[in-house]
Amino acid sequence: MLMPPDIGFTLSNQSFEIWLQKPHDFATVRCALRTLKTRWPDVILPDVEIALAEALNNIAEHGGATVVGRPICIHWSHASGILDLCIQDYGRHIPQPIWSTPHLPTTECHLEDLPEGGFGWSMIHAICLDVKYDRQGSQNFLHLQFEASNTP
Amino acid sequence: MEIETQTCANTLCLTIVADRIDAAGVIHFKDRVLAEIEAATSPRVILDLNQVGFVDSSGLGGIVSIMKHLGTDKRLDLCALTPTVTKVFRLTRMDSVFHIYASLDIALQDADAA
Repeated sequence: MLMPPDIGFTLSNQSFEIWLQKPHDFATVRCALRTLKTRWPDVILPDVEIALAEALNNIAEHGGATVVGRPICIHWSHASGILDLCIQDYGRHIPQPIWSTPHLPTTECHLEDLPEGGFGWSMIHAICLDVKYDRQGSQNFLHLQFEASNTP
Repeated sequence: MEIETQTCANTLCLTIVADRIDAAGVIHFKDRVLAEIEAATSPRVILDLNQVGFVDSSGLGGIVSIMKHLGTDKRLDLCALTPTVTKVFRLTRMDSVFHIYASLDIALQDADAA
């Protein structure tokens, strides 16, 4: 097994590794997002932060035990006003209907029936120009494409 | 996370002193807010989010959960949403569920809500 760094993530020029300490390790996701935003404010624009947070929280919540002790790798590249971001992890496979055709939970309902979750993939699709997912061996590859100049 | 509390007329105003409400802190956030609400008798509660720069879908779910917990006995309103938080509410259509005011002063001036 690869050895995670003490701080939970590692930096390089156009990539970033997050090392979850346990399943549901949202605290490390939070630290990683804060670090990314501070180090690369021109990459982690508000829309990118919203989508990236949802994608990383999904991995922490649904990835299972196999995400622990292995890096979640984020790579990005800029070209012609487009930001391409790839998130690579060792968590569970994501079934196609979940990532490709999410349904935003309805808010036209009684108070007691209001949704408290299930927004993540819909938000990602609403923000991104393109969303692609691929499974290779034991790894997930999520490709997100953004307008690099997006603001909320 | 700190919460600054003030009561104006029949309204409990809770200012969330945190830069984010997210999956890592949503349980603590809910517990703290509900404790403040249950300790007060005000029929209206305003969450002032002017210091909260980011809310993820878990944080949003926490705010919705607080509203559902209050039921029809008390009213929960929001104010001073920052741009990224505003976008999260818009993307999820939760901006049609909550009364959202530009500032705490404007929220308090809404006589219909008092």
